[in-house]
Amino acid sequence: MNAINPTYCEWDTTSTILLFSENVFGNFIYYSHLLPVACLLFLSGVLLWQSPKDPTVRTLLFISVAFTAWSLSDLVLWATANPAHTMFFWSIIIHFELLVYIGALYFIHYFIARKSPSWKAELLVFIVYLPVIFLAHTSYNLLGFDYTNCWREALEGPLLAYVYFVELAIALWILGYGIYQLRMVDNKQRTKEIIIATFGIVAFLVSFSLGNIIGTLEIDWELGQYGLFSVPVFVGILTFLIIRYRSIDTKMFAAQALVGGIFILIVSILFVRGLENIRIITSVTAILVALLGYLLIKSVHREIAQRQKVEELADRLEKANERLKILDKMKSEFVSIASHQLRSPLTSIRGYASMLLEGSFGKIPTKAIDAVEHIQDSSRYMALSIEDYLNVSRIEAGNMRYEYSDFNLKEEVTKLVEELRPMVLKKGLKLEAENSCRTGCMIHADIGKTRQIIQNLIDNALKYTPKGKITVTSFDNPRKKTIGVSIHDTGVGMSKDTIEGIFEKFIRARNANQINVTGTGLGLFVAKRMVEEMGGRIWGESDGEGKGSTFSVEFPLVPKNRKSSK
Amino acid sequence: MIDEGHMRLVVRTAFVVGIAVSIAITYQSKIVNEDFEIFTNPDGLPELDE
Repeated sequence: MNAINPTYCEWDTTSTILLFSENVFGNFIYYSHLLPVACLLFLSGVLLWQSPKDPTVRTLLFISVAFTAWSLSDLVLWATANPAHTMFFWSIIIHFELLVYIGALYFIHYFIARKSPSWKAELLVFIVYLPVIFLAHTSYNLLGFDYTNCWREALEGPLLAYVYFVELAIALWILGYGIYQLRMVDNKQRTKEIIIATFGIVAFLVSFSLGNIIGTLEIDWELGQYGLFSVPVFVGILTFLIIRYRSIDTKMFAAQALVGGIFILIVSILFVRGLENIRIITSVTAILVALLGYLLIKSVHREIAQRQKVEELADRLEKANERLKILDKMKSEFVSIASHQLRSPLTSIRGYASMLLEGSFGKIPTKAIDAVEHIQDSSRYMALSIEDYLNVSRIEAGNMRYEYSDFNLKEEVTKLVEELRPMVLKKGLKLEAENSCRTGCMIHADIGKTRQIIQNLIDNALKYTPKGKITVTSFDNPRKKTIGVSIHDTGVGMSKDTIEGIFEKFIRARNANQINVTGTGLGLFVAKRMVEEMGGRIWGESDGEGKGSTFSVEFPLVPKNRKSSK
Repeated sequence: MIDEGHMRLVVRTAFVVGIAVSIAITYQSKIVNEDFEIFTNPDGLPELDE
């Protein structure tokens, strides 16, 4: 039993829970110790609430707990008048101090590399730690209690120098690891992340150790307390980093921190002396804050969940869209290749059929003429269909090219009518060309494509007109500054519904099947796209089913959005 | 072949047990047995800090 008379030094021997006594001069020491503890536990607690499985968050909580143990032990050293307590807490405080450093080491590893140090590194840390485990209770740590003055202090042994050496080594390890990782990355964002994390953790350790170092070197323990005030700042930086670069939602964190902070503040009022008369109101307020806070957090949580779901769906939709585009491109390529492969043999069939009819291989029997004519007609329609498919795939792939020149539309229409007349007459119909162009009828467009469009419209009229006539009229519209051509027939006509969708892909007139008309439903779609890409307009009109149709095309005198020739 | 997870568990367990035992021994030594030296002045009393 050690014989010490605390009253001789006027020490306060009536401490409350070892922490509160008159030996602690002023509130400054309490602020420097309890404020960082509250901040650390609060921040790491809220982070843990948000992301309980994140190892970085768990490590931050470990640091907070070790720091709390250190801080409370240190506070006991300020408050106690019992030499046994001083010796015990002074002896074990080095454990907590080193654990804070080891926690910092793990934090940087988890944060930067997203994994803990290797087990060999952990073993090294353990081996380095062993002297502290074995010698903490011996005189290598503390030589004894110093009763030569009234400062309630222990005399420190050589183990403390070793602990400081280990702390310095860990700090350098963290710094070196951060610098090494910086050299490994070439991402600007990641570089920033590593710099802030390394700076934050090293600054935290320096501010934490400042008190001990100054206290040991200068024997001025009060001066060292200022470092502790900066601890929450650097922990705040680390918290910000975790929220910013990990999958923790800022909105959720803010809501939880706000509710938790207000609740703690209100509850803390309950412990303030002299405010006993408002305890009921304070208690009710605390319960209300807890309830409303719970609702707020729940609604924020719901909102975040909904947002995540929408983002997930949008992401899936985008991927599906990308895949569809690829498939569409593949389809166009397939159609293009297949059509090219079909076109070559078809040209041979048409050529030979024509030669047979012309008698190039001698006179053919009358019965065979009909059959060969069928072959020729069918192969012609097939060639047109293939041309439609090719045009669609070109349009969709953006590969349609236009070669612009100035030409007389009326002349081209007349030529085309003459070329098609035998085919029309053969079907027992009349084909007339009219001209109402009062100007020169000159347009600037792709002559081949324009002929193709008009031929397509005449072909259509031919298909849908069982009897009567087809009239092709060139016209101009000086008011609108356009020149065009209209193809009028006395055929099956169209209803309003049919007119609305007639220029869509694979859409055919409703009565097409009734009159046994062959076709792909692509002709008008291709014509419309070509006309529009040359800056023109195409439209269809009809007074109704059975009353004939009129299809018109017009081009501006100067095309508005002319495609460059390639 | 050394299993890394296994070795890590062994090291961490040793760490926790080591620290707990160290604190327990220190408690026994300092609080229970009060086994520490007290440095005093020759007269056995401290100099009062003015």
